[in-house]
Formats: sequence, structure tokens, C-alpha cells
Amino acid sequence: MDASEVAVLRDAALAAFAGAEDVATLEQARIDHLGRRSPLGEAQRGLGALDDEERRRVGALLNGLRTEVTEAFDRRHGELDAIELGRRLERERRDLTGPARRVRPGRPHLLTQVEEEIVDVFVGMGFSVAEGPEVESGRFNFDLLNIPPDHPARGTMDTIYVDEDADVVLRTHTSPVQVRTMLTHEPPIAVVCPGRVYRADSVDATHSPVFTQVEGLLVAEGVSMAHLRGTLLAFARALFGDDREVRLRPSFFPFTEPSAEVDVSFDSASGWLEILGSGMVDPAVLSACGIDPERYTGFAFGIGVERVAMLRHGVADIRDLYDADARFLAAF
Amino acid sequence: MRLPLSWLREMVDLDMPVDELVTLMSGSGLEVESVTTPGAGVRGVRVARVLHHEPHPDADSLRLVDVTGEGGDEVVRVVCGAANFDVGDLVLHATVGAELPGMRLEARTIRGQVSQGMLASPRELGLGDDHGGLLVLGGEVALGAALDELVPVGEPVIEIAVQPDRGDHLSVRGVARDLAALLDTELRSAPEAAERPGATGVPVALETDGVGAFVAWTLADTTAGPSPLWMRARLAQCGIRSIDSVVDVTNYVMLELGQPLHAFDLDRVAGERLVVRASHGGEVLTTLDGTERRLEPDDLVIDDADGPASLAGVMGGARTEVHPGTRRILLEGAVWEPLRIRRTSRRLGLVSEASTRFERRVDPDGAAAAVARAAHLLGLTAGATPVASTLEARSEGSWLRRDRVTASAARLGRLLALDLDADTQAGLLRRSGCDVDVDGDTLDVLPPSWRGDLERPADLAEEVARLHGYEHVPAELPPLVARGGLDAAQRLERSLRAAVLAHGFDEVVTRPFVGEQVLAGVVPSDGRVRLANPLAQDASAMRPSLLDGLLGVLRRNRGQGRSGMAVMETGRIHRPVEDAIGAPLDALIGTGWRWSGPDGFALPLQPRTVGFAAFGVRGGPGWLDEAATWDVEDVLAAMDELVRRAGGAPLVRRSVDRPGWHPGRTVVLELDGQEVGIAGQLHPRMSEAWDLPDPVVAGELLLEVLLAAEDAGAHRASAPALVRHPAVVVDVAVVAPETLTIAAIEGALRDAVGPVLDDLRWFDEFRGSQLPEGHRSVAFRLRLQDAERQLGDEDADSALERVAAALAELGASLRA
Repeated sequence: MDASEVAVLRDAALAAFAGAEDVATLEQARIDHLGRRSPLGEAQRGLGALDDEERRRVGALLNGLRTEVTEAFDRRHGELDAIELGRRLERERRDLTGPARRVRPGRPHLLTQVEEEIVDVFVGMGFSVAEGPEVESGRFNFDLLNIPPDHPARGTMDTIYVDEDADVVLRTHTSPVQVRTMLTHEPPIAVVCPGRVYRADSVDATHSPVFTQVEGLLVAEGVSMAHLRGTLLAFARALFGDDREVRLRPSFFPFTEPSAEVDVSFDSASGWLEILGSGMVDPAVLSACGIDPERYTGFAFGIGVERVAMLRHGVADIRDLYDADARFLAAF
Repeated sequence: MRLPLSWLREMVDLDMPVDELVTLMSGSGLEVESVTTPGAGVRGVRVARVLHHEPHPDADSLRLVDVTGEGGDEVVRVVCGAANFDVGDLVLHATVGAELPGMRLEARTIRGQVSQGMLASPRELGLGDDHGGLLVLGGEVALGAALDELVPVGEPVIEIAVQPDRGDHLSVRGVARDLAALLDTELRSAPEAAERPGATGVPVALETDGVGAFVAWTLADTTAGPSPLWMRARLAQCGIRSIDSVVDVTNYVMLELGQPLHAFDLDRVAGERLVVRASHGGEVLTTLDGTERRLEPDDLVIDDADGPASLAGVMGGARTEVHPGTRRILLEGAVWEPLRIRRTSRRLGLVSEASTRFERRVDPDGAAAAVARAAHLLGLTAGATPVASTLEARSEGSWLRRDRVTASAARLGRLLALDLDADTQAGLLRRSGCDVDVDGDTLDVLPPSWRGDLERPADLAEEVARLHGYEHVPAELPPLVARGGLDAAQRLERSLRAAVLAHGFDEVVTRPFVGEQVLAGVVPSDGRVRLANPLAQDASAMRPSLLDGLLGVLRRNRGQGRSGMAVMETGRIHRPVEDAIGAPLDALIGTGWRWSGPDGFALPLQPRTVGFAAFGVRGGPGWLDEAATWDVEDVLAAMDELVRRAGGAPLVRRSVDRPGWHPGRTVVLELDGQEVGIAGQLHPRMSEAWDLPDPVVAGELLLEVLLAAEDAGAHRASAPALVRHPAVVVDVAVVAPETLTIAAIEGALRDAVGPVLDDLRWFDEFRGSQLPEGHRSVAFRLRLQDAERQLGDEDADSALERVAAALAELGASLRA
């Protein structure tokens, strides 16, 4: 076999590979041109019959041919693989721009979300969280908070009673939790008290007989009104945005003196909106709860979770928070 | 309290726009609730005299009235529907072209008669609510004068909310005085008053404490009539109805100075002497409003010789009331103890302008001045002349004591974080009327008689801050005083909520009130925490279970046309102290979950639970499994995950038959033999009662148990060994009597296979004629694995032998 015969075999093989349009045809071409029965295979198997010198010469020639043709096959195989993969990918094309089909998760209620957010702001400032009963002793709810029987503030709180003679009420605020904390802990005390509270209000768009408060109390040596303001400013910015300011206005609460209503700045249309009541803990409350008012001072505040939720999320009717319409629940 | 701007300006200079004044007031403890302009828009209304009137020829209820014209001389005819006037009266005529709120007047024909404008009632002029007749003027007024030139109709009237401790804000002068202090300007001198007549007045005996002052003047020659326009206008602006010039003056002075006054008709005061005493209970008095009132011991009452004549501080008596023919007046200005008046007022449900003021404390030193002021005005408007007076000394009482308050200026400054020295603080307090001595750092303060709220250093601190301005208090974060953060149980509660939400339940918050009929939840009982003053019949008690509220949510949403929903809530439920729910909780977690009041007084039980309720389609279009519906297993799966997260042992389920629940599809969940939960499907009749389509599933679990356990010692999960030897999987079919539960079979399989059992779950249930009567076949897949070695067929065979033996003891067998 000479070089020209090798060239013929090579050209035939390369032409067959180039002509193969799919992997199966290419594989047949491989068998035809590189397989045991192919002319090349036959020739290589026939090498044994040749003398030494001729076998070396023709063997080298055929090995060269096999290498070249194998490379051509591999190249073409790679090309056809890529083409076929491309076709498959095209077949697998999906439109993923529509809504995804889901497993439906549940959602936390807006009041829970806002309450946890408020609590976490204060927890971040070193407050712990204290809880207490909703059916509460009148002494904890009123008397120890400087609201004796016949105090006018009792009239403004519209209390729901469980047993007036036994002095058991639905707590009108979470302040009794502050009382319980002060009675059982030595200062320094820094707690927030989240929970449901009750007033004898009929249900309408802005009133609910049950609502949610997060009250806070900090009692230590050297606590000043500046600390109150700083804490509430940090709260307002965390909940409403870093550009907010707070404004304190003189007010009256039986359990604080001085007392302050706190407004937060909103946009120019809304101006300042009242969001909570606060003040320096009245010395009479500290004394009643076994804390020396000469040594310790403190501040307290009460945040209405519904009010914050309504202001921040545009809830116009407080009933929506308690009526659990699925469309409302799905929005938050 | 409503404050006409012109009245304030009589007493203090207010050179600022109204909105600035409102901002100042709201920022200084005078919280403005509204600013209104009653009578705004009234134009072309003039004073006219009635010259003649006659019946309308064609309408019984109308009159034809001739009045003086604009110049006061010509005659103008109007048609009028009122009858409370006569020839010679001064009335207000809205002329043709005049404007009243909401209308412009033209000449109009009424039943054939032309009316040149109209004669106006107080309401039509914005001068009160009275629409029963014309506004008839008293005193001397120029004919033809325009109403808006005579009185400031349409001026701003500022209404403030008065704090309970600031009774001094319940008068125009009190507010003006506070504004003068805030603005550091002068309060003009007190309005004109009469000279005190000789002290030969009606004898008054004080036979009780609780009287801060009692002043009584006798006035003669009184002729009550209509009040002058300026007084009527101010009463109207303040929301008080004009009666006649005597009653109006008492009201006017009360608004002006804050001192309620009472006018007796002296000729009706039996014996012409008064006794002030505490009721011994049982006396009967008819008050001015015509109501017969029975007195209780300790009510303050004023007697004449015939007995009770006035309910002190709350309301006068009808028997001694002034009337149009009254000639001699006994004008009383007294100050009563706030607490006593509050009790009487509350008990009788009788809140008057007077009681509102006395409850918040009236200046005991102001009574004499108020009576003198009223006497002066009665001279002007009713021709009255003071002829005698009685000034009774006040009784004793701590509420009357005015003590000096000493405070450290440095301490006040530190509390407020304001750098104000003692002299500056003293200056601020003096603006409020305090008498202040400064000795180094010490302020020695005598508050003025009208400030009952300044009793302690803390009160002085607020006054200093208020006058200096709260806006000067800086903002500063407090130092970290304690290690804060959520405790273990609080963190777990959040985690448990998240676990339930991940199971597809939406969280809801419901109002925790229930009526009589409720679906019983965990550890059912009839015990209720009832409300003494419930807001509604169907909200008469606190919820004994969360389920009622949750089913209400499902019903409302079903009513909105939803085909399915699943909700959960966490919260407290309420049961009486002795309720059955106490026992399992006490047994599992001790008594720390119970709440008590002072001195250990036990409060009702209020453990925290988590509740579930669901019905209908779970998926729907767009969901992964569109056909899935809510099933009791969804509730059980969420509960299992809760317990797993809390690190507790799995709860044992036991089938139960409870009222309201499906007898074959309900289980209680037990821990150490104690019931801690219930889950199941509602009885079809219960679903029907709630207007919900079957099946409705629900459940409730005592969260308190999981949280208390977490509080006692945080649960820490330990890492499992990740075995690399391959597992051997064996499926078995167990033929068992129907009465043998899957839980029981599972337990037997676990015990029999032992520690090589890596996982076990049932995957099929079969019933058929091939099986013995009353039997079923349950298929389980067992996964066997050993950390030390690879298991083979012989291990599986030996496990199956043990399983077969164990099942045989239960009356069950492996299916061939």
C-alpha cells in the first residue's frame, strides 16, 4: 500500500464524516471507516503477512491514517453533540414570566408583625419582654398606678369588669405588667410589655373593645427625660424612617409626672401625628411598687400597635384587623 | 371647654394668628380639639323692633309682622312662624340680600303674603341650637345695627380637652392666665365686680366638712328678662343655652371665672336660712331637671327650714328655683370637695357643668370674687341690687391644704435634662403664680390657690419643663442598663408560630369574647369567665377556647364566597380558677403558669393555647396541587411539627367522642397521660350550625405546656450520627383487628426491631374479603441501618421474626 492509496481511504472517511448529519449516521461511518471490517481495519490486520521492512513502512502509514481519521471523527462527533444539545435545549424552552405555581404558605398577622417589630426595636436597646394576665387585679391595673378608686382617670378608661366586688377587671393597659415587674425585680429594670388590652368601647371604624399595646418601662439611677426622648426618637425612626422627628407635648397620665404626648413627623400634608403617651414614672408609682424614688427615676411609655399599623400601612378601619378577611390577611 | 377668641383677648394680649395660638396651646398642655367659627357667613342681619303683628290670613301657624327698617324708622313686613315675641321686642331681622349659613335671602311670597327677609332664630344665626322661636334681645341696642358689628359672630372658638388635674382650665380666665404665663405677659385685671354689701345676709350653718368656701349674697329688686346680645352670643359660642338674664349670668360667670354659682329664689327658701350638711341617706330631692333623687349617706346637701333644697355641687333643687317672677335672689358661690362631688355625680349618673368643675377642683379662694362679679352683671341685666352678704369660713380638709413644696433645682434639672439654674426655675414658677423662695439650690414654693396639681417636686418639674418648653428637652439614648432580649420561651413562641404558618395556616387575631354556645376545645368544661358589664349578649364571657373565634373567621370568609381557608391563632383562653383545665397543666408544669393578684388572690386561669381551623379547598388554580382540600391530618401535621420544634416527646393520640366533634375522626393529644390538645373533624351538625361545608377540621393545643418546658431549660437538639453503611428496606403488611390502632402497631414494630430501626412509616391500608372479619391490613416500610456494620438479608429476616412474635401478642400477624 502506498501513500496514494492511503489518501483515497482518508478522503473517503473524511467525506463520510462530514456528510453525517446525526450521531447515528456518524457512528455508522465510523464503523465503515475505522471498524475491524473497514479497509483500514483489514489493512492493519494484514500487516502481519508483510516482511519486516514493509510492515514498518506500511504500519507507520496506516497508523498515521488512523490517527488522522479518528481525530476527524471526534471533531465531527463533538459538532453533532453540540447541535443536538442545542436542539434539546430549544425543545425544553419554558415561559417563566407568569406566576409560579406554589405551595401555599400561611402569613403572620399584621398586628403580630408590627408588634414584633416594635418589641425588637426595644430589645435591640437592651429591653427584655414581660407578659402578664389579661384578666387582672384592679389593684395592679389601677391602685398601684396612682389611680385610686374614684380617681377621674378611672372614668376615662371605660373598664370592662369581670367582678367589681372582687376587683377583677379586663386590664385597660399593659401597665399592670410593669407593676408586676417592679414588685418582683430590683432596678435597673428595662422591660417592654406587649399584649391585648380592653376598653368598654363599642366597635366602629376607630374603636375596638380589644386592642394591642406595647408599653415600656426603664427604671435606673439617673434616668432623665432626655433618655425618654432619645428612646422614643430611636423607636420612631426605626418604625417610620430615619428622617422622622418626635415632638413631646405636656399631657396628663396618673402614673407619670411629667407626662408627654409624643407626636411623630409625617409628610407635610399630615404634619405631626400623635402616636403614643409617655412620661417620667410618677414617684408615687415607684413607692407603691417598692422602689425608692429618691434613688431611682424612670420613664414609661405606651404604644398602640393598631395605631402604628394603621398609620404605616394605610388601614382605614380598625375592624379589618380583627375580622380576618382572607384578602386582608393576604396583603401583609 | 370652648373659648371664644375675643373673650380670651379681653384678658390677655394674643398678637398671633389663630393657627399659631393653637400650636402654642396644644404644645403646652392646652390640647386643642377643634377650632370652629359658629355664625360665620352671617351678613346683613340687623336689630329691629317689632311694631305690630297680626295672624296670617291664610295660615294659622304664621304671623305677619311689621318691624323697623334698616334706618330704624321705615316699616318692613315679614312673614314669621314664631310666636315668642310681642310688640316692642327687639329681634334680629335678616333683610333682603342678607346671608345666613347656607342661604341668601330674597323677598319671598309665603301663602300669598310677601316677606321682606325673615326674623331669625338663634340656630339660624349660629348663636345656639335653639330653633323654637326668635332670638329676642334684652338691654339697649341701637335699632338697625348690624349683628356682626355688635358681636363677633363667626370668630374662632377654640375647644380644648381639659386634663383631669387642671380644673383651672375650665374657665376663660384660667386659660387666659395660663396663656399669660406661657407667653410671659400680663394677665389683665379681673373684670368689673360689685362692692360687697354688709354682712347681714342669710344665716348659713356649715355642719359638714367637704366645703371649701361658702359665699351667699342677697340681691333685691330683680327683674329677669332676656339677656343682652353680647352675653347670649358668648353663651352660645360656649354651647350654653340662654334661659333668662338671671340664670344666664350664673352660667356666664362660671364660664368666665370657673366658679359654678347657684341662684335661689329667696322668697322660696323656707325660713330664709341654710344648713350645709352631709346626707344621712334616704332624703328625697327633686332637682332642677324635674327628677326625683334619693340621697345616699355622705352626699352633700343644702337644707332650708323645709329640708333639702339643693344637691350641693351637682344640681339645684326645683322647690327653690328662680323663675320669671323672682324678685329676691340668694346667690350662692361655694366650693366642694372633688371626691365627694365625683361620688354623688357618678352614683346618680348626673354630670353637670358644675359637677364637672368641682370634680376637678375649683379655686377655694375665688368664690367671693365670682359672686361679686355675678352681682355686678345682675345689676346690669336684671336690675338686681346687692343688699346683704354671708361669708362662711371653709371647713377643714387635706384637699384644702396648700403646703409649701421644697425641691432641689439641680435634681429637677437632672430629671428634665435641662440646664436651668435655681433662679431660672424660680422665675418660671413665678409666672404660674407660685410664690418662690430660692435658697442656694433649694426652691421653696407655695403654689397659687387655683393650682391643686402642684403638690410635689415632680409636679414642679413638669411645670418648669412646660413653661420652658418641652422642645428644649434633648434626645439621648439611655445607657444599656440591663441584658435585654427575648427569653427562651418567647423565642420558642415565635418559632412555633412560624412552624404553623409554614403548614399553610394564616394567622388571625380575633376578639376574645364569646356568647353562651361554644365549641369545646382542649380540656372542655362549662366554666366561663363572665363579664359584669358585657358590650353585647354574644360577647358575655371571655373565650374558654380559641375555636369559636376561628370558626367565626371561617364563616365570615365562607360568606364572602371563599371555597376554602385555614387559620390559626395563638392567645390566652380563660377559665374559672377551679376549672378542669388546671389539673393537667399543674401535673405537667407545676403552678407557675397561674396568675394571682395582690396577697396571692387567685385570678382566673388564662393559659396560652394555639388553635387551628380549616375547611374546603387548600389549593385552587395556580397552586401546585389544585385539588387538595384541608384535612384533619393538616392540623395534626402542624401540631407534630410544633412539638418537634419544642423538643418534646411526640404526643400520644387517643380517639375520643366529644360533643360537637365527629365521633370517628377526633383525637385528644396526651403528654404523660394528661390531655394537652384536641384535633379532629367537626360533627356534620356542628359544621351546619356554623354555615360551613363539611368537612371542617379544627384543633387546639396547650401552648403553655411547651413554653413552660422551654422556660425551665432550653431544649438543645443533638446532632444525629450520619451513618454511611447502606440501609436495608423492608416492607411488611400487618393484618390486625380494626381496634388495634396504627399507633399501637407502630409502637410494637419499634420495640421489636430495636435500635437498628432507622425509620418507620405506614403507607397503605387495605380492607377486603380476603381478610378475617373486622380486620384490616396496614403496610409499613421499615428502614434498617447500623452505624457499625453493613446489614444483610439475615438481619432483615431476624427483624421480621421478632416483628411476627410481637404482633402475635397483639392478635395481629404479618400478611404472607
